[in-house]
Amino acid sequence: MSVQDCVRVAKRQRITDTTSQQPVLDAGTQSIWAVLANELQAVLNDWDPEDSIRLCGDAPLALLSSRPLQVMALAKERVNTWEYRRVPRCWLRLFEDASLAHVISLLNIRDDGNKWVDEVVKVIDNAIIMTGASCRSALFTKTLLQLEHVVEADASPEWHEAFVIVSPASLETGNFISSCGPPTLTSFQAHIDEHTTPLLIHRAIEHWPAMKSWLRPSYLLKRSLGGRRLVPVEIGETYTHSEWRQQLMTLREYMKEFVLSRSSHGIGYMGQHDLFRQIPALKDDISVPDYCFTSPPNHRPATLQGQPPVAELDEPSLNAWLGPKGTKSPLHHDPYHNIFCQVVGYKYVRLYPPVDSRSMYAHGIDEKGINMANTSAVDVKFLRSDKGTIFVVNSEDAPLFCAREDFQEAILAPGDSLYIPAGWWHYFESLTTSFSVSFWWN
Amino acid sequence: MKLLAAGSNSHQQLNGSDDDVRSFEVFTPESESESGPGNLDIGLLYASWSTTTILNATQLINLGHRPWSTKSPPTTRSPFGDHNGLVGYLDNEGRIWCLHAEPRNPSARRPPLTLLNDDPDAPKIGYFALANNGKVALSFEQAPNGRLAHVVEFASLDAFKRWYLDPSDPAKAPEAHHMLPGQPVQLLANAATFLLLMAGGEVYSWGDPRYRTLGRSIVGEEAAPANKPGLINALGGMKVSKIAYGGWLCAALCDQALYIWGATLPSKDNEIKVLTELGPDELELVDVPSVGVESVDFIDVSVGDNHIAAVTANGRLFVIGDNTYGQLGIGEQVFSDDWVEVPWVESALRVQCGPQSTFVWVNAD
Repeated sequence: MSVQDCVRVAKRQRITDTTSQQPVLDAGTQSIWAVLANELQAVLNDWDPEDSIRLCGDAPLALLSSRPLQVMALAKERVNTWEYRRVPRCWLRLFEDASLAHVISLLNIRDDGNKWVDEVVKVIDNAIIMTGASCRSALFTKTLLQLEHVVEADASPEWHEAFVIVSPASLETGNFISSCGPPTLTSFQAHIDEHTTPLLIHRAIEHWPAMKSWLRPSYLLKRSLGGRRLVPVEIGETYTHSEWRQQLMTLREYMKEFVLSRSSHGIGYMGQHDLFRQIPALKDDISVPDYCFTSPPNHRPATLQGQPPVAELDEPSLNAWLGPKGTKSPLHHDPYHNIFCQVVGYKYVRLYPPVDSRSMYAHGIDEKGINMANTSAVDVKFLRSDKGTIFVVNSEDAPLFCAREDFQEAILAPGDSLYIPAGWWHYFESLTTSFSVSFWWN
Repeated sequence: MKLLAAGSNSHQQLNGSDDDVRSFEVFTPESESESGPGNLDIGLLYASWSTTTILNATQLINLGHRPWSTKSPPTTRSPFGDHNGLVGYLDNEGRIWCLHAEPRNPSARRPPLTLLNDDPDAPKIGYFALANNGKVALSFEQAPNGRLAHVVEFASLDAFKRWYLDPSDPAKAPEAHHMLPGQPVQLLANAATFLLLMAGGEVYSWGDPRYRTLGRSIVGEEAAPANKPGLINALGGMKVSKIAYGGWLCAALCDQALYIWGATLPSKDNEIKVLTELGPDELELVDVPSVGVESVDFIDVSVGDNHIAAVTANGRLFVIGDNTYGQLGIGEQVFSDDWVEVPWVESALRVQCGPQSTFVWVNAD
């Protein structure tokens, strides 16, 4: 009996069983987990001769089934030994397969209640986030899909029906970003060829299902296996501050602790995370703007000269940005062109053209050897006053910056898309709970 | 003397059971040698993630993953290897001996050990170190009155071997060559950095600057960049007698005082808090509770991937850090943020750590 057959039997049983309110799976269908575990184990015992995992050597491979956690620990330690992009593939493969081995042991044990589900999701997500799951993603997806049937019986939390959004007063400024209704593809291409300047596009994403569904926390929970999927959260004011740290937590925990309430641990931001690769179903709620398929011009702005060249992206790179009021992305620039789409809530943005780099006081190389030349040391925050829209925290250290008048700013509202050319400095601050999607391309 | 051991027994490298050793027990390897259990002068040559390679009067024995044994070599120095076990060592004439690697399975290494280059004109090596990130550093043998040490680096063990077999080919030259005043006495590698101790007591560090392992600043005009050896000024003026290295952790013994710096494994949740509070030029002076009024004198230290063990002048063994696999020998607790004395270990003389294990020699009387 295959896994699919077992699942079909379970579904039929559920439809006919209208009397009980017990959890979806009963004793008869426990075997679907054993079937899945065996299927996963068969794959694990059978490595391709060309599989880079063999380069790890015998000692870890011999231990995979008996002590998967110890092998995971070795792999994780080795992954940390190099800069991520230099890590030999064999270690990522080892972490991936050791995670799979651990999932198999969890499926075989399955403690009372549904706690084992939390653990399986956590192990799978850790593997996906750390390694990209280049080899086993189909098996992980299959396991997660099978788990959806178990979590349908989760009790829903006592949360708001929708995120509470209070629209802020509109921005009064002499430095507005030029804006328009959705341009055609040809006029957009003409714009970036001739001007390569920021453009605020209204209503281009109005038709996205996300505009309605992402307003509801319960919908996001449903899409993430009852909120069990792990997401990386940045805790602390901004990444330039010393107490800043990154932590993985479940989406449920993130929304409960940091989005729907004020956390005692400080501000938490799920930013720059490819949620769509992790949860492909969310991709159905959005669509990649056509503008991302235009060809950007060849000239490199001053900010990107002297920076290491970046690979050409085969397809646009997506990132999700979800957080409470007050999350900030400090002033920095990226080597990619960006269409930043505002789905839920309001976000303040300020842009500076890629000229006069001295006035931006970029960081150098820090004590950990990390090059932060694309980030400004100027600390700003949104604050309306008669002097303008922002407050510069360390203004005495940044006189040239404070004197600059060539910035552009706006408050992005739901349905807005902002084109940011590569190399332009940008600062974002959420004015309400906010959920956005960015598309990078080159 | 007795040898006691505790820690990970994943490949039965400590005893024949399936369990880790969570409190120190006498290490009595069964071997094929003629020497009975009475002859216990065991030297630990190399302890890896999956093996324990020991040396006694007649045999070199590899326990754990892929066991083997062979006649013991006359001299050994600077043993190096990886998580699959010993790869090679130097002899007293500065020549490299490597284990035979099976062509289809390079991680399976067995005797016989062979000279990597039997040409009498092969470069004579003083000290050799292999880091977890694959990089090699070595110092050349120096004349007894030599004042300048030459230290070279290779991107990988293979790159080193290619040069060692044909040093005159400029295409195979080392990727870095450092000249430093002094005579090296110890050259160590851990995850991704190197540490060099000179006869005069100076210590140089270089490599990956994350996790505070260099023990010195890399920013500013006076500082040597991370990839070049720089003096650890915090140890300046002190005569360091021994350095120890593992994971991202470091220790130095000077005049019976013990300094530690670096970081526990970033991949784990637990950490030794005092280390996280150190600035780039700061080291932590170790202080443990003493019996009576006198301060504690340390006589030996060794560092694993995520733990440190130290022996005091009065024979007590202190440990700190990770105990997931029992490597601290203190029972069920998985981590100790603070130094703790190992109970029931007395008259300790010397300590050596594997990545996840600890070996201590004690006076048998």
